[in-house]
Amino acid sequence: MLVDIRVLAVDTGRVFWRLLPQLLTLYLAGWLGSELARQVAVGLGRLSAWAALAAFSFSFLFTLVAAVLILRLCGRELGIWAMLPATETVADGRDTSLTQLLAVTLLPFLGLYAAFGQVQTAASGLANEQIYRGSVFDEGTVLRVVRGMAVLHPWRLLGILVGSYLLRRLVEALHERTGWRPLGIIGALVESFFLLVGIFGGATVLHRVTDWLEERAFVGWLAALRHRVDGVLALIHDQLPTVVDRLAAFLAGEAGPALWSAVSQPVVWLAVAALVFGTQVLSLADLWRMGRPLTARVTGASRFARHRDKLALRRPAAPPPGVVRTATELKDAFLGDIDDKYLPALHSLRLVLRAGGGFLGAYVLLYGALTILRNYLDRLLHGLIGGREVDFWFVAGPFLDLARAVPLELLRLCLLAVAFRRCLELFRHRAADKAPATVWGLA
Amino acid sequence: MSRRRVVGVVTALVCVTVVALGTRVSEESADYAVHRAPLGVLVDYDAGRAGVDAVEVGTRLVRNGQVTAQTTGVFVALRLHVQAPGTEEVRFQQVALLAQGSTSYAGYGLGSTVGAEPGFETTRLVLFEVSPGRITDLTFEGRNTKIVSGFHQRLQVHLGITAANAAGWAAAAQGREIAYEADEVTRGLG
Repeated sequence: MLVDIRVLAVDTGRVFWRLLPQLLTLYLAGWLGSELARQVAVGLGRLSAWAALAAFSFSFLFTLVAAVLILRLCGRELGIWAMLPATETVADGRDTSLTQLLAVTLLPFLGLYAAFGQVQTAASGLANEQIYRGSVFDEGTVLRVVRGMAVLHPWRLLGILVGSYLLRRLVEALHERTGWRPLGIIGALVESFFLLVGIFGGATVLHRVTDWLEERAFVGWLAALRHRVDGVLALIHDQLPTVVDRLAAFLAGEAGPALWSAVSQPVVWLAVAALVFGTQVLSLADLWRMGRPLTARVTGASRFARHRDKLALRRPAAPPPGVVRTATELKDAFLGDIDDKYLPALHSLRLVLRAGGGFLGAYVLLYGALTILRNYLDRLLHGLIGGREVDFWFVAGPFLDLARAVPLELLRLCLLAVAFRRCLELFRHRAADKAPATVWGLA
Repeated sequence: MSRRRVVGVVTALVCVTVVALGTRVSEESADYAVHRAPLGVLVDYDAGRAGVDAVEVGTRLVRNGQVTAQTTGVFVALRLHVQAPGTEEVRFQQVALLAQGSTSYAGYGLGSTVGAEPGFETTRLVLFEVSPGRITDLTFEGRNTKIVSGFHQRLQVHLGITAANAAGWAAAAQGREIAYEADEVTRGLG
């Protein structure tokens, strides 16, 4: 583990220092685009909450593009693609085209931002700014409109989700046929809009479901059962129910979330960042992990292969004609998303988790160190600036966020690339260990 | 499970625990900065100055010779001074008395914010009704938080009631009247 810590720390520092001008340029460009899109969203909020949401989606897209480009730059510096054996290199548009890469990584990146609360924080920030510039009674904030629709008109919201999904599929199909790049960006934007509506509306629907569940009789039965258990514990010692309650509250409220956050964030980020390096690299890593030194040359055989390639492998004959063909094409249009977007993220997560406890411990330690540094930087900035009126924070806030993010967010992205490269080295080493020994014998 | 794998898993768990503890300790617990001031001294607050003095305790409020309220607890009265020497107003949206533990008393009968317009000083009588058994280390706290606010300042002033003299303060409050003529007085700054 000490070796892993040293390798990760030294290489991260080296990559950060060598690529600092390029990293800064990319990050600042992404930040500028994101802030401009956010300000446009605030302005559009007065006219239409849906237009504001579309502009808000753009802000995430800028952040994502910057992160993807930074990871690719770090990957090139670290020689990740150079680790692919020359005989195994196959040109794949998904691994070289930015728009194709965005299509694969947008969903997991946005999912991560949502899972760790960053989407909600950004949306609350947008709503606060709309209230600050308008009025607290303003009904048009993005959150209010989407959540209000989820409560009052859920079928309308579902219609918007289905409509935006179909629009995205249409744009993607046109992009594949024509190869016109702006269509790729438009597709990513539509998907971003679809995901954000899903996240905001879905959260509200989920609350309604949990509220409904809490009113069911079985919740009362569970409470009665808990009361019975407390009674039994009280027979052993009268303070025991209180101790057990406090311990459960501590584990569920404090220790559990803290431990979960400490392990899940770095690991899931590493898995999603790995998608940036492409399916070829991931397929090779997976084979090395299993101890197979060579990539399977059969297209479509890998877990990370495209849905179309997997289908071609399973069904070499031409699809049947007529209605059956249409039904098959429709099914593939929806299942294709699962193979092309959802499953690669899941397989990437499985890949990363099997890198070994020592490596994961070292990586979690360094990732956590960056998080802790960020917290202390927050404290330092607040200590230097002190408490201020809200006007000050709306003006200076984005620049202070930038001052915090520039050193630490860039280091974090470099660490992701270095950690993945280390995973590849560990897997390759494992494959080399398992390679059959050469047997010399008499002819 | 091989020994190496067990060691790896245990190492990872230890690292996760260390990171979780470190992250928890390093997180900023509050979205405000506390600005402590001594009793009777005006200190810088937001764009102006503010301070607290003239602490009194009693069980009856008397205004213009008439008893307006009585309590079985203790009324704590103090004067809050707010100055706005610059071009921005200085305001407290919320005031409270903090007591032992996490007890917090809201202003008694306080229907509006306390503040000064640019170029003026406002002195306001602020009342609190507290439990006589919880007056040790009573601390005035004032803040200017609105519906949307960022990292803000909170003014805290210890009222001088310590564990050593709390019983004396509580006894002194019994049967005592707090007389006042006006809630708020405003004067121009020179």
